[in-house]
Amino acid sequence: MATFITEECINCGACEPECPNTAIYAGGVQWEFQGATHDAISNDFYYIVPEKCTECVGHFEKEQCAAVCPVDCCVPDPNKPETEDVLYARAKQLHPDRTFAELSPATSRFRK
Amino acid sequence: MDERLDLGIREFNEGRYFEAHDILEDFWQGYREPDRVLLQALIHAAVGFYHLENGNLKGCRSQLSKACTKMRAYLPEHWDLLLEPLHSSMKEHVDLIEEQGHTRADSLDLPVRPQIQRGHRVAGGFLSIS
Repeated sequence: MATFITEECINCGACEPECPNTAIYAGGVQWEFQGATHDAISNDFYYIVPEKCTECVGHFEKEQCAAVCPVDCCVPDPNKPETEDVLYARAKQLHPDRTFAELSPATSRFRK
Repeated sequence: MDERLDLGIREFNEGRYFEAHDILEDFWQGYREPDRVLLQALIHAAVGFYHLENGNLKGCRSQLSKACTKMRAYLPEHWDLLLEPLHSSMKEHVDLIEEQGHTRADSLDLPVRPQIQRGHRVAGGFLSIS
């Protein structure tokens, strides 16, 4: 499932630079994907674009936004359950020029 | 202790909760000792009352609940912080929000915002110093 930011967010911005997929945007800021721009998902606080979130699968052992969030408001979205395979495929799609290592506990929270 | 703890507590006690959270967060990001959990509890507390001031009762309840949970292991005091009064007040806020519903902040009858008290242990109890 994609990670999402709850309304507990205090807009500190700690999460945004940590995302390896640039899936996090400040409230009110339009998001970009494959050359197109889209309206903000939230106007009030930071948000994560599900189409760009891989829960850090392929990159890190756990979600980097959640790791740095001081208020624990970056959480899995129960309404968007996704498998490791789907998230890994998305990571490859988002970064076509990058070679991904085999999934391991270091690159997927599903393996921990 | 780092001066950011002093500054953060001062801001908290003066009701500048966003500023308190901001300073404590800066400290927390680089602090790697096991008791950094208590720092995060104080951040949750500051954010909880910030949300309360802004009418976000759901956010307030959730943040104060997290603060209570993380603070529990450090009661009744840690460093020079007298945590029991803060913990009790936060729990009271959470209970009242749950009892009275959490739709409108201005319709709730809530206690005075707590202070973070500092002090040190003396024979038979604590001597509060601020």
